[in-house]
Amino acid sequence: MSKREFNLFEEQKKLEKEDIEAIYGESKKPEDESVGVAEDTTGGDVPESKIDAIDRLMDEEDKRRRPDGRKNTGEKQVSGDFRGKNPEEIQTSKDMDEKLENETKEGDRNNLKEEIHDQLYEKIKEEFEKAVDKEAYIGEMRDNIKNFSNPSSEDRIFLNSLGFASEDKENQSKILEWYKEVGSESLDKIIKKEVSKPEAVKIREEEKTVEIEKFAEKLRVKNFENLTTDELKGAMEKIGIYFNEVRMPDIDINNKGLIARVGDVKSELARYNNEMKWILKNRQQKEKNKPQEIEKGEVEVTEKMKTEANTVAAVEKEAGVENIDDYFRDCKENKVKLRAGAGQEKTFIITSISGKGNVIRLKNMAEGENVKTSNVNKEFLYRFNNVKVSKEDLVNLKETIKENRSLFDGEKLNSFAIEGTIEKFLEDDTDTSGIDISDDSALIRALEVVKEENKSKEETEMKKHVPGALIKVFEGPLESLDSEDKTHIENEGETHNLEEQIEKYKIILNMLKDELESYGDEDFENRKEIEGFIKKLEKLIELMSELLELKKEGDEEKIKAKELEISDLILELKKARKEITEKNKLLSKEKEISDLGWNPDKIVEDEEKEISDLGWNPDKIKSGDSPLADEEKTLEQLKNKYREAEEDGNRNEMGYIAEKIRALEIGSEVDDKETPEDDLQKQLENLEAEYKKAEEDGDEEKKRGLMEEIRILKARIDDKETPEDDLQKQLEKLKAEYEKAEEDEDEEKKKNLMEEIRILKARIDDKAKGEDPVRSPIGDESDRPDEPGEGEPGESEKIELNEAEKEYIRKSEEIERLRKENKDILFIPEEDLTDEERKIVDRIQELEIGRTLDKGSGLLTNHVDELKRKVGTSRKEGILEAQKEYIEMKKLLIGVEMLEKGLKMKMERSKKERKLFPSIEKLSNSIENALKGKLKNPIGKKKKAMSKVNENYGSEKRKDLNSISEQELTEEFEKILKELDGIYSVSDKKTKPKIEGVYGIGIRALLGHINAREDIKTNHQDLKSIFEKGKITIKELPDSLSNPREYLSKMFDKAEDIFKEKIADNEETPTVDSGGELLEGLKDDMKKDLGELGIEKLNMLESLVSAVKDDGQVSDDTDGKELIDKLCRYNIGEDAKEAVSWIEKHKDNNEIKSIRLKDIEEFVSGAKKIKEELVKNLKDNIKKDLEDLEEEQLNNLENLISVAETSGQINDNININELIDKLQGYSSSPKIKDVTDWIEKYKNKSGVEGIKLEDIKKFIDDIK
Amino acid sequence: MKLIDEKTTEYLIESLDLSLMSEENRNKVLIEVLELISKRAGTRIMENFGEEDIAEFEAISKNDLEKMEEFLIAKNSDAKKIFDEEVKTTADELLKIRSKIEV
Repeated sequence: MSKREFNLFEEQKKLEKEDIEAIYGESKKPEDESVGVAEDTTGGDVPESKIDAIDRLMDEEDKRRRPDGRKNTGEKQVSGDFRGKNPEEIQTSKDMDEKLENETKEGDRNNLKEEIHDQLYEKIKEEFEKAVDKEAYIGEMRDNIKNFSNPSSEDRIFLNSLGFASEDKENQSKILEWYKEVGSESLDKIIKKEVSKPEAVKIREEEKTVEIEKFAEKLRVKNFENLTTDELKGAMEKIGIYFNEVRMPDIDINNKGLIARVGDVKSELARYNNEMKWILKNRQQKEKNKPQEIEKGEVEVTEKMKTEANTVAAVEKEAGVENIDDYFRDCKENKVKLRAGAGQEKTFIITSISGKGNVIRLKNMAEGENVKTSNVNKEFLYRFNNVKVSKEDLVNLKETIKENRSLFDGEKLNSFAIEGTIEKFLEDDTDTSGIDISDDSALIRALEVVKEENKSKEETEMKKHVPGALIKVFEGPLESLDSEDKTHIENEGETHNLEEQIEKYKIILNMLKDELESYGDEDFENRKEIEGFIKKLEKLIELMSELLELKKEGDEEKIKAKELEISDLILELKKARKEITEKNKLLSKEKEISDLGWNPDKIVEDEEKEISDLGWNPDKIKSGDSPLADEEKTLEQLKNKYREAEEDGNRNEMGYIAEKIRALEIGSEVDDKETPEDDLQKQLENLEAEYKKAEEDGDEEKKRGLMEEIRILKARIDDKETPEDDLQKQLEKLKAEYEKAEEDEDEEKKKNLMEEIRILKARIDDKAKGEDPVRSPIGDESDRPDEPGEGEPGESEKIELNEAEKEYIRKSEEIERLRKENKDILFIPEEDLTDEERKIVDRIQELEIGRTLDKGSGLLTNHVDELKRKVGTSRKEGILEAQKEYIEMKKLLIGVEMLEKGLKMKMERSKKERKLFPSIEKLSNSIENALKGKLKNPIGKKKKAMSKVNENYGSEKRKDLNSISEQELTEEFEKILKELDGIYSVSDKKTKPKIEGVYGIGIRALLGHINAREDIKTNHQDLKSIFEKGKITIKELPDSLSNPREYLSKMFDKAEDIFKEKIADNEETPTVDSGGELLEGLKDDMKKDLGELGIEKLNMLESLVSAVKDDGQVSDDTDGKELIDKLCRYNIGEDAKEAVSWIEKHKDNNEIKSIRLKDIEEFVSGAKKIKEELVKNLKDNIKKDLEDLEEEQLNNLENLISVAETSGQINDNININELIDKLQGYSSSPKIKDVTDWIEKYKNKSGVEGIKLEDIKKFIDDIK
Repeated sequence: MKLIDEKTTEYLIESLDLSLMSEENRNKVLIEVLELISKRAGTRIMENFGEEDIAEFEAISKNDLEKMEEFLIAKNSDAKKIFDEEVKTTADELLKIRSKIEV
């Protein structure tokens, strides 16, 4: 398959049916249209004159063609003429000449041309659809059309196919001239509509991209700050629309450039959107803070602060805004000491700093009062963080943040906003407004990053250059040396001045010595010079001390000599200081340069670090022996191996090596989740390039292999989860829905939405962390959507992991490790794995599945904990109970997820199964869609059925119960019961028991009594109970069945009337003394229920009771309640469960404790006896009926049974009910019907289940 | 639907105790479970499909489930049997997993 075919094939797969219709619909139209309306290729109707002209032409042709003069039948003859397959029917060249001559008027000529156009269009389209290589076909057609006026033999074949074969050359030329003219147009039309669908898509995408790029370009030059709020909102809205509109182009199209452009423009728009969002937020904040905003130079302090401590106001008054940061010198660890009026100091905690650092809020530690000041030098913010700030530092800070954007994920402000803040710092020193990031840790964290970086940088640099304190000494106190000269000393004259001088130098000396000492033996620039300086200073002090002594002695000569010596030394010191200071300055400058990243050594270091971070050895790179070279070598070796395998025709080997080559070339990962989509796209691009190359090389084998890879990769890309942006949108939507549900007080909806939000948040988290499970694999408290507003995970927030979550992490780590260690194995097809390799793959799979289980358990544990907490606080009993359903559902869904994961991994490992991926997906998606429709319908159907039944029992349509007979009442009961049963037959186990309750216990029992009143003795209590139960349960029918509810209630009243009458007639009705009435009532109920059980169930129950008794769990005196408990707990099968259910329903009856095991045994045995009796009677009756049959009928019956037996429909063990059902299938013949009719009357008779086919067969034998 | 009939859903409802759930949740689970079953069964049913079979299957409209099912049954006469087997196996496995999830 060529690339184009492949693309088309892929494209075709993607096309929805509607798409196909959309494409082909229009072109089919002309065929469907009836005569009279000429097709207009532009889609509009043909003007009347044209139609007339065509009609006229058609008539003329018709007359010519049909000697009998009959008119055309209405078929579209113009086309028919040209397409006619029978050359006999085509008019002669003379006719054609005439026809053409008739086309003298321009309008007519146009009409014919249009027809030809349509005809040609249809033909080309048809050919095009058939063509395998569409591109080649288009090329050929273009050439054909070009040469139409001089038809070649091939063109003649084409013409033949169009029905012009028999035309003479001249006519053909004329027609072909037209074809030439319109053919090209038709072809263009087809190309536009058909061939270039992907191209058209590409063009549209390109156009859209260009449009958006233009928009982005406009935005690029705009200063968003200058835009009004409305303009910003408008721009953001437009960005939103564009963002959604521009989709990543399909990879089938050769449009890598476009993909890159779309990616670029999308990220650019996202950036602008963030910036705009930030500006808007900033403005909102500013608006919010307006009343509190402080003008430049003002200080706001509370009244209390003003009186109690003359703090900030005093500071400002004294120092002025420019110098205010001097007062923050002691600022450390978030605290600041301010000097109060009379030298007092007060300590404040910084509670917040505005985005620009020029509005600071402080809290008096002692008083707890808040105070706010403004216009603090911006550097304060950084001083606060102990970071020495220069403009370069700010630039660095911005860059650092930019490089570490991921650090700010989940923060209230994103990195763009912080970067924007810094940008504003740099641009604007005076603006006092600013975004309040006081409660946001993002900037602080950013600063800490820089602080740490700068600290270590400073430390390194300081050590390398000059200790800061020494610099300060030289630049500070030693400055006095400059003013120090001999004259000065002479002029001082007085010893106390000299003493002071000596003291001063001693202090400086000590400072220098201390500082130097603190650096130990460590070498740094200027150390020797400074040491020399110190020695000189010591000498100076020594000389000055000697001078002091000389002055005391008054020896002028010696004094002068000493002063000269001192003067020389001071000159030396000055010189040394100058040299040192200058060198320091030079070093500082170098430091600054290096800070900006200009230090060549540092650049090399950084590069090396970067390389080593990538896992490569920089030394190797330096030496030219790069790891890439290693890989290339391996790759080359593999390629050689591939060629060898190819020569040997070893396909398995080829496939395996191809996988390895691919793995090496693209470094792909197996796990989708660990492979970013971009990487997959890249892989795909690589594969497509390879495919193209293979196509050029004509390497069919390689092409097939690559095509398979492309398919799989595409499936993987398609499988990728929704982009995070989409998830965020979904989240917003869910939050809005949640809020609405809250307003509506829809607890159920809230619950569901809460869960959805939670899951979505976990997904977003997973995505943001690249499914890094360390922080929180499943979601944490902050994720709980109790408050669906924006969560603000605190920095110090500790996440308590439950056991399952811990286990999830452990497994994730192991999976990670195994994957890394066994990357190659993961590419080997299942069938080629060695035992050892299989073990590893199985282990990964096991871990993957286990991890899902842990995740699920963890999630559920959190959920249950949360519920418990809620129940604990709100004391709403039953919440946990209500959540059981949720838990059960989740457990099953986790199971589905696990099994699905297992299946996917298994399929991925098997080359064969991988091929089935798209088909399997297709099947399951279709089933999902079909199920969605189907499973929804029963609800609709049920509602519809309900409303129908309700309507049926509307007041006008129901029977008048006043005059209804007993039999009619029974039938009416049965009818309504059947209708209601039908409504609830959709496996609705929640509602069905209710219906069963109403009708099973109530109506059915009643009907049973009505029907069986001759056979079973009834008593007053029994009936009373039935009517009560019936009436109560009827009330439970939903309002949508209000009519039948009311009707049934009346039916019960009627039945009660009838029974009262019967009871009055029946003097045998036993009465029960009031003391034991309830107990007797229960006993009767139980007996009656037992009576409804079949003989098999009775036997089963008997054996079960006996088994429990044999186990020693119960004795004869065990009361009914205990027995029920024991029986229910006994490990019994489905059939036995049914047998037990008769007794289970009585367990809540107060009287049950008075009933003993022996009573129950007695009931069972009694019921059995009755049943046996019933069966016996039935058998007798059946036998009697059989005896009444004619011999022929009996033979027919026997034959029928035999046929049914042979076909496997029946066997000896089926009972009469089943037999009737089966035989009915054979009763189409009247003869057979005769013999089956007799048996039908026994259907559903009590005890009938005790009669088997073998009994019937025996009866027949006996009779015969 | 030819591969999934009422008995299939009833079996799943019974065996997985879905009857205890609200209709909405039950349908949600049913769809998920049947989707999984269709994948598992599909893999088995199409096990021996050749390139041509796959291409033929792919050519069926994705909205035409009936045709897909017909195709699968025509190509593999055991398709329904396989599907039913997977229904049982999957239900069993889900029950096992369910019992393992501790909360």
